[in-house]
Amino acid sequence: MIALALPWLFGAALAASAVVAALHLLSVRRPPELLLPTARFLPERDVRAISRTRRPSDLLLLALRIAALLCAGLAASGPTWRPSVASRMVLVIADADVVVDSAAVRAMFASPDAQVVMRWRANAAGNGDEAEPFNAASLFPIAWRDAARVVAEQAGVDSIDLHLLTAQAPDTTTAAWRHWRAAWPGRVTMHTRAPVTVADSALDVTSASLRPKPVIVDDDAASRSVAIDDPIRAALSWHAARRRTAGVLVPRADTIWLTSDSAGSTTRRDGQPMRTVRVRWPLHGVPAGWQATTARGDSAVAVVSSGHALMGPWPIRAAFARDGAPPMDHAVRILAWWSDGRTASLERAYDASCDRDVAVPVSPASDVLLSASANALFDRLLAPCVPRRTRAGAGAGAGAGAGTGADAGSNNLAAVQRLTTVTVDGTAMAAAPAFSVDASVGTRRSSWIVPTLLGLAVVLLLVEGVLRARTAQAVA
Amino acid sequence: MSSRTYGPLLDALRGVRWPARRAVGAALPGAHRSVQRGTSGEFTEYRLYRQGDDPRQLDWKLLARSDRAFVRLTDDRAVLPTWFVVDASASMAYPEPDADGNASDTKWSVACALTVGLAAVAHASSDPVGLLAVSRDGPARLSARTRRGTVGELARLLDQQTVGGAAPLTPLLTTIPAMARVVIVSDLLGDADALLRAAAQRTVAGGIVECIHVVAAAELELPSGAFRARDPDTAALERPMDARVRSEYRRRFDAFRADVAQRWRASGAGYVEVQTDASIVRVVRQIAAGSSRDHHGANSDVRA
Repeated sequence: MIALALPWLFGAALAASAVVAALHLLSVRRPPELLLPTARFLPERDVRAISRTRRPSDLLLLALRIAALLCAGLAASGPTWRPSVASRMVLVIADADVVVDSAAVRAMFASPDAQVVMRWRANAAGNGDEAEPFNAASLFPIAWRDAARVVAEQAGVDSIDLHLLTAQAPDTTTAAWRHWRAAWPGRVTMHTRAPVTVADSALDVTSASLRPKPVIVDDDAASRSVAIDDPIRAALSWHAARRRTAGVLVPRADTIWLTSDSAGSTTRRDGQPMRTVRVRWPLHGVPAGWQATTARGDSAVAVVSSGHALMGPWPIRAAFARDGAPPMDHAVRILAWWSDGRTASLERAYDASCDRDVAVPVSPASDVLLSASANALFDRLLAPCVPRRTRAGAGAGAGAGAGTGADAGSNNLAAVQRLTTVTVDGTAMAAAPAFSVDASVGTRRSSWIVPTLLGLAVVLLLVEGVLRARTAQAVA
Repeated sequence: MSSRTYGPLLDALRGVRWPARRAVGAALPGAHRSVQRGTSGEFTEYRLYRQGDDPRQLDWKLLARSDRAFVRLTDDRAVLPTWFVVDASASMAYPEPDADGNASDTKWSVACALTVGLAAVAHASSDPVGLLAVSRDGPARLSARTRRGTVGELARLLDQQTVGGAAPLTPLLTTIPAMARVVIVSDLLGDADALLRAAAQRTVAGGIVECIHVVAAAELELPSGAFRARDPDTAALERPMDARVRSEYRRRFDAFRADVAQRWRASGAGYVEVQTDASIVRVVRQIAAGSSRDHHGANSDVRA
C-alpha cells in the first residue's frame, strides 16, 4: 500500500487532471466557413473559436496527459510503500538490561490491526563496578523519536500504544519522568522485572575478569601524523592516567599502545592474550562500520554518557550503519548517546577484546575532552572489557532466573510472560498526529517510488508529444 | 430566375413609364423631354422674333392681331438610350442555399429581375436598351436597340452569365455613350469608389446615372451560430462571426450603406437601395416613379 506524506499535492494533481479533461472537451477549433460578401464589416479577430464537444476525441492523448499528471503529482506527494495496513502501532521500548527475545516480545503484543515496533535502550549501568541509577525517563526520548519516525513514514498509523520494558521499577517521582510523562500524549504501560546485574550471574564471572586490563589506544593512522596536535590522544592519555588503569603510552609507529608494563606487551606471563580494549576514535572521518552523514548542519547539543552530558554543540558527522540503530545483542552496547537519542559511541565485545568506537568529532584546538564533564565518557571508554561470553551468559542466566547461556534463548518467552505490568497514567493510546513533524525539517529516506513515478511521467509526456506531433501531421 | 419566370413581372409592369429625370439631349424623337426646341405640336411658349429665326415658325395670327412678330416654341421629345450595367461578381451570388437545400433569392437573381423589369419599362417607351455585365466569364455586351425581342435577348444574356470573379465595373462605363441613361445594378462591394467617380463624371457631363444598390436580407441579419466568414471576392479575407460581433458588424454595415447613399446622391446620380426580399414589381414602379419625382429631389430606399 502506498502512503502519502503530502496527500494534498496528489489532490491537486487530481484537480489538474480534471481541468485537463475539461480543456480537452473545450477544444479550440476553426468554425465552419461561410461565404459572406460583407465579411469586411466584421471586426478583425482570431478566426479560431472555442467549441465544446460532448465526446472527447484523441482519447489516447487525453489518457497519456492525465496519467503523466497523476504520476508527477503522486511523486510530489511523497509516497512511501507500506506492506500492510495497520492503524495501531505498538511501540515497545526495552531497556538493554531486560534480556528477552525480541520475537517473543513481538508475539506478546501482536494483534491483527497492530504493528509492533521494538526498540532497545543500551545498558544504562556500567559493568559492575560503575553502576548508576536507572532513569526510566530516558526511554521516552527513544519512544518519541521512533513514534515520530513511524508516523512520518507510515501515514496509516493513527494511534500509538507505548510499552516500556525495564529491569527496574521506574522512579516516577523524578522531574525528568514527570516532564516526559506530561509530554507523552497517551497511555504508557510499564513492564518491569528484577534487574539483571553481572554480580547476580551464576556463570564464571570472577572479579579477576573484571579487573582493569591493558588498554590499547588505536589511532586512525591515516589521519594522525602529528601526535602532539591530537586532542583525543592527549585526552585518552590524561584520563588513563587519572584512572590509573593503564600503563604507559608507548609510541609504536603511528599507533600508541597503552599497556600495563613498559614493554607494551599484550600477552600475559602465562602466554594467554590479555583482554584488551581498542578505542577507535578518528580525529577525521568516521570509524569503520559507521556511515558518514550526508545532512549538512546536523548537530546535537550534548554527548550523554552515564548520565553526564558533555555540552556542545557537536557536529554529527557519522551515524551507525543500518538506520542508525546498532544491532541490539549481547555483544554490542551503547556507550554514549547524542542528546537527540542517536548513538555516539558503542562497544563490540569479542571473546578476548572489546572494540569501542567513538564518532564524536573534536576540534584539534579543543580542550573539552579534558574537562570534568568528559570524565564519564572516558570512564566508559577506558573501562575494562567484559568478554561477550560472560556478558551474554549473565543476561541470559538472570533472565531465566537460573541456568546457563545455552538455554537462555529458550527461556526468553517465559521471561517475558513473567513481566510485571502496570499502566502509568492515562487510558487512551496516543494519537498519531501528535507526533507529526514538519516534513521540511530533517532528512527523508529516499524511496524507489518517487524516481520511478517521475521517470514514468517523463516517458508518458514523451510518448504524448510524439503522438501529438503525428496527429498534427495527419490533420495537416 | 430564368427568362420564363419573367412573364408575370412583365405583365405587372405593362403600362409603366420611366421618364428621364431631366431633359435629354438631341436625339431621335421619343418619349422623353428634350433640351431642344422644335416644331412638335405641343406648344410651350412664344418668343419675339429675332433675325435668323425660321419665318415658318412665326405665329401669323398673333402677328395680325398684335402687329408683333412672335415665334412659337415647342419642346422636342427624344428617345433616351438606357444601358444596364449589371454586377455579376461572386458577391452577387449571396446567399447560398443552406444545408437543407433551401435557397432564397440571391442578389444576382434580384438584380436580373430588376434589370429585365426596368428594361421592359424603358423599351415600352421606345428607348433603346442595352446591357453590360461582368461575370467570371468576362464582360457580356448587348448593344442598345429598340427592336422587338430586345428584352428577351437581354434576359437570356443575363441567364447565360456565370456569377463569379471580381472584375470591376468602372471600365464598362467608358464604353457607354455619354448622353445615355446608365443604370448600375450592383451590391457596391467591388470597385465602389471608382464607380462612383465615373458616375459623377457622367452626371456632370449631362448623363443620367441610376444606381440600384442590391443588399441581401441575410447580410442585414446574419445567420446564427459561429462561422468563419470569408469574402467571396477576396478569398484571403477571413473574419470570425459569432454572436459577439453581430452588433458591431451591423453598425459598420449600416454606416457603409448610409455613406454610400449619401455619396451617390451627392454626385447627382439616382440611388436606390433594394433588399432581396422586396417585391420586384413594387421596386420597379417606385424606381420609375422616383425618377419622375426626382425632378423635385425625392428618392428613398426600397424595401418590401
